[in-house]
Amino acid sequence: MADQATFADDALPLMQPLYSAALRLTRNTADAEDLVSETYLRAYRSYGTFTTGTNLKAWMYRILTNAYISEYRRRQRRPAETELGDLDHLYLYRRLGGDAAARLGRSVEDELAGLFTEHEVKQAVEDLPDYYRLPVLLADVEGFSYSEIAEILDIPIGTVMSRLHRGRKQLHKRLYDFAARNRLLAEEPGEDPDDGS
Amino acid sequence: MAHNCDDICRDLHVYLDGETTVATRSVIAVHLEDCPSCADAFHFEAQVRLVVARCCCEEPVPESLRVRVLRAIYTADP
Repeated sequence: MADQATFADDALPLMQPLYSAALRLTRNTADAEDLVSETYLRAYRSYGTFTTGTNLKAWMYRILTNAYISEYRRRQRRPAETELGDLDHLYLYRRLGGDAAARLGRSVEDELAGLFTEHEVKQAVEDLPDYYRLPVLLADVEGFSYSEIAEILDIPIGTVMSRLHRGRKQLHKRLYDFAARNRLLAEEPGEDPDDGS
Repeated sequence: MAHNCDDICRDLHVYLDGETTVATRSVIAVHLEDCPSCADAFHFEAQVRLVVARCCCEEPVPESLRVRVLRAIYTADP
């Protein structure tokens, strides 16, 4: 049993990752702040049910995702599930990274930094439907294990794996679309679009 | 036992997640040492993840939110 008196000391250090996740879920700062605030209030009220020494971060994320699902998700339009078909597991690599020789001295990291902006990466994550976005955020951003994600989202491990698999494919497809568009823009001759003559 | 690149790459994400069995993990690790093209693909995917994680996790918390949360906790009914 956890002591409510220590809640602030125990849980406040987790606010930064929780707020980042809330932003990716709600897609705007006002709702993200409401969601984090609601999460802390719910967590504080039920802190007595938390077993000290177990995974507080996973427990807080479970409360965050439950609060998100009950309070926010129903307000949002449900994005249509895009038909992914049979995207192969090296989809992005084969299109963007497949030519190691062409990279020569450049690191993959430098190469990627030039392909899409930070804003586009966030956009690509936010464009995922909830059932993909939650597992992808929990695994790829927060580093939770399959079993932790299964517990946080209350779904079987097999479902975690298949949603991660499909969610990452959709994310990579979206990143590729951004990269392809940026490349196209970069290749266009430098005409001034405001030059109306 | 020989493993072809398709089999290895099918397990790429589970491997990067650290969720393969110990046996599969060592099979993949051995393959990656001998196969530059698979090693390049694995490295690329790992870097994509790093980029996504970095872009999504460095959101500064507004001071007003910290204050709001603390106030909510201290004024909440237990």
